[in-house]
Amino acid sequence: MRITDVLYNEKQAVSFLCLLQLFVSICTIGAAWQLSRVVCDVFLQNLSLNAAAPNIGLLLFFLLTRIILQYLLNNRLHSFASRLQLKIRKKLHRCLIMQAIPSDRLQLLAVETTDALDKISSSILPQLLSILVLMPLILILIFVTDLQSAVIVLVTLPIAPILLALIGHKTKSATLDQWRKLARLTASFRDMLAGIITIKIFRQEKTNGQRLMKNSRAFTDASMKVLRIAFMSSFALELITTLTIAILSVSIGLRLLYGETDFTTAFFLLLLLPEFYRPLRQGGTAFHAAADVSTARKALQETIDVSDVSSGQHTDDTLQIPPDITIQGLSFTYPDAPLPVLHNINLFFPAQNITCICGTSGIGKTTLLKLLAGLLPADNGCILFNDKNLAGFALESRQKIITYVPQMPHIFQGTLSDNISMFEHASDNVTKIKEILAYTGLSLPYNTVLGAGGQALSNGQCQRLGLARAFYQDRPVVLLDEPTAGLEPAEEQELLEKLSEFARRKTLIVISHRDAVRKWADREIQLEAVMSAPSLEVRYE
Amino acid sequence: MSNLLAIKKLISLAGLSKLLLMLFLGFISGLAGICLMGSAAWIISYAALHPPLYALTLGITCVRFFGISRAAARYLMRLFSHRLAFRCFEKLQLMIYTKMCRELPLKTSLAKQGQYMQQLSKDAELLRDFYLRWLLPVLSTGMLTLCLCLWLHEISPASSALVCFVYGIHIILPVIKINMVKRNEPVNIYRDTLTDVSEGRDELIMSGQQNSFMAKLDNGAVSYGEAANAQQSQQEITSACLDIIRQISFVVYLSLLIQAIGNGTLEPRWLGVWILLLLGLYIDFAELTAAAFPLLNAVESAMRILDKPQQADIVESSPLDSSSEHILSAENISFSYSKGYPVFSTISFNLSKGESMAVRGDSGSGKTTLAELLLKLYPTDHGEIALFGTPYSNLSADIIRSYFSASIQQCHIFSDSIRDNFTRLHPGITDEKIWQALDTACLGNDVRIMPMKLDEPMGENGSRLSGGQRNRLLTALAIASDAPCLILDEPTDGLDKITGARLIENVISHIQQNGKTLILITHDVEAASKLPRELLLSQP
Repeated sequence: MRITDVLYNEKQAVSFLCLLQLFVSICTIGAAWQLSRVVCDVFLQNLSLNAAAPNIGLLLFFLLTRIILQYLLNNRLHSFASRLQLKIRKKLHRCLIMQAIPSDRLQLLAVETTDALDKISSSILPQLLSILVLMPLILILIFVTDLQSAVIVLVTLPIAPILLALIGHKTKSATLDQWRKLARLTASFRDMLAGIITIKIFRQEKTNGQRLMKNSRAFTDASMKVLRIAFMSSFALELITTLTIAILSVSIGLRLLYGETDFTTAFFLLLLLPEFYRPLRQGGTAFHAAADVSTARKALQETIDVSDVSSGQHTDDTLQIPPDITIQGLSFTYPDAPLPVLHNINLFFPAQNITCICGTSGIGKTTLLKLLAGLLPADNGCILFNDKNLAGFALESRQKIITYVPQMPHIFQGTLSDNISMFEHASDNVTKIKEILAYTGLSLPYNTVLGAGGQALSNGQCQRLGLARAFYQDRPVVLLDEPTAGLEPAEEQELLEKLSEFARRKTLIVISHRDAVRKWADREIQLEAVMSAPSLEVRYE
Repeated sequence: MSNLLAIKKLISLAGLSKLLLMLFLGFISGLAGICLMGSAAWIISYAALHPPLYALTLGITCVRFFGISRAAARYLMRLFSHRLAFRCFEKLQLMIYTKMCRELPLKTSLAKQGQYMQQLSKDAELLRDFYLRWLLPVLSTGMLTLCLCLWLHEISPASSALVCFVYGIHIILPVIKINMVKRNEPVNIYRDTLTDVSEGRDELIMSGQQNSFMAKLDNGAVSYGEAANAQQSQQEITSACLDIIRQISFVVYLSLLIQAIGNGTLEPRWLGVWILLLLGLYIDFAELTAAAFPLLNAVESAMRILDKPQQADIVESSPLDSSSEHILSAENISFSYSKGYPVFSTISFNLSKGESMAVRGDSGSGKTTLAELLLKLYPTDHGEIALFGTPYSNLSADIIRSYFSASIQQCHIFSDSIRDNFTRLHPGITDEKIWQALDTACLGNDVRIMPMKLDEPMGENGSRLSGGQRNRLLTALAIASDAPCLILDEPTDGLDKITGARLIENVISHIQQNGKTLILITHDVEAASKLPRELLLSQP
């Protein structure tokens, strides 16, 4: 996804851009030529306004044509960038299936970081095109019209990059140090903001405000150190440009004085010089833009690359349903965690049974359920559905077999019906969903809008929505995480009765610490007991 | 109108005198730039008349002088204006900190709160750039235009008026145009959809409908992109319009000058000079256009940061009657995050000095919310909490919090070190007291085996600690305070049974020794049973 690769893939678009830039450059040069002719006519030939009018008209033509062409060019550049952004966003969306990205980081990546790629079209490519097309064209013209000026330009031109490289080399380590310091200070500022509630509870708003001010001042100082170096480079570039223009105007003026060249050419060259040096002077901005784009690109690339882990490819229609589920020597450690959550677990869940998993919070009940759903990969050991390893199942197979309802079902933006079918659009949906709504006692119209901005659901309604999803999917293995947490006993009993009917001919595993659920289940597993037990040893009720 | 007000506030934030100095530097640098081209044109025009060589000396000196002073003035202007902008940035950062101190925690979800904080930080950066990219260039270019026009006025009044008009258009047109574009709605929808995927990912994957949801996400990205394109093309059209105005006005200006030559008010050899002066000025104008587009966002940002607090905290603190029987009492309190959905059914209790209480309830039953109400992080919807018989509504949050020390689940671990966490929250605390608090919270031995002990870095929000260690550190931070009332939120979460029981024992003996009152929020029945009283929360 390097910019050069992207450009390579769009050869046609790029050559069109170059062509447009060529015409823009021709118009720039044409306008400069016309203008110097007008000045010459009026100044040396003493023509009146009327006599000069045709040339002025031609000048206006060049000026306006250039605007239109430049507008087209910008449009092209921008649509190129927005195509690229859409492509990246779509890639990013596909990654979400493979890896969990926290909501705030995902938003940052998909919105701000991807937006930063705008700079390709607004700053980098225009500069690049100018350097590749406009500068050589003007240089050729200078060569043709005035060899001596061309020699001066050619001699001074390489000074700029050499000077820049020298300054850059001398200040490289200092700049790196300052960048690191800036990153640290920014992190420290964020840390302070994240801790505001703690600071409020302990009434230390003032003292921490003072710390914040010190932090901000250090940030200013570090930024200014970096900027001073950057401004030094710009100063060098600017000085070379202005001095070259000064030297050239004097040398052209002297030759004009001795009649070695004519006024129109001299004025023409003078008009072109700023145009010639502009891409060079704006090189600093383009350089910073390139740095921003490359940071953004790296951040996106990291996320997109990680997602190439493939899951099992096994699609199996021979699995007898509902299956027995056996866990053998299962261990799991969260990345970055020092200790495993689950260590060498052995369990058995018979088919057509309801098994309740109990245990204190934090012991790993939810983790176990996610492992059973195949949402987390086991470090060691395996989960067998009858005699087939879950790890070998393709995602599509798991989706046909397993229903998973988390502790707090997430409510998506959309209608209640979308939230139950999870956006599946089948023709008989409405009747099926109405039946489910009546069955689960969710007394809302099926087209109620939920989620951000829509109607809020109470805790009980949320739990019922989770179960409604399970009823809708109607799969042989059902995993429920605290389906009755926070419900009144009567409500709980009602839901359990409905679940009993639903659980027939299914393998149902439920996490709960509620006595009613433990009694209702066919079997109960105390996770603490299993954790310390070395072998397959399950406590039966 | 509000735009002007915001800009005025921003100017006063920078300080008028400093701003004027920047303005002067900007003016000098702009002047040197156009004079460089003007004097170059003067040399060439004059040379074409073949005067004696010495007549050109003035021009040659000028061109060198302006060449060097242009680069130097620009360097100085950049240096000083950036320093000024960063100084303003410091003030803005303090302002958003103060604002957040006032407004957090929000009643919305944690994700929305994070978004809000991110927005404010971005606002401060946007405003810093506002000084550099818009305010200073607009004013210094304005001064330059004014000077040039005053000079030009004697030669051709019409063209002088024309240049002033073009400057005005460059300020006004972008402001009018950008007011018409709204980009917010699609981006918010897209953000919400992204949040949906990230938070409902497990269910989405297991449902098998991830592809139809992908289509929804893609559509969100497409319409966000389209909105961005619409704004972009609005900007491009505006720029193109201004380009056309500039070029046409240039041709008119040229014609007016030629007429002035005919009238004899302008010497012919000055024609080229005036042309290059205007071309130089127009380059500055073109840069103004690009800078004007973020202006609307900057104004929005300024409004967000600079707005006055809607209601001041009532600081009328009636003296507390500490002889009152109950240190804390609550009567029929209720609270809801979103209207009509109360978190728990109404709560009432009285707590005497030195008495302790456990608060139990299922997850989601509002245990932590109760702690937040006691700390006056939110006001109650109905009912009243009272401290020594004085209702909370008559007390400032600061006074109330001085009676409490608490660890709640929204608490944050600062990333620097353990010592830093203590000194931030308890300025001037001694190492001895830190170790005492850590030992009470059963964390002392864990810290003793860390390579850097109290200076061990914690990672972002304590990410280098395990869940249990993190909880114990929060407990230790609360215990280190001398406040009479201690609130602990699930202190045994993530601890094994033995450590958890020892921690509760330590805490109980700590409060008995110091005569403190303990409110222990827990779902752990065993821990709760160690306390004399229990409050059970239930859902409404």
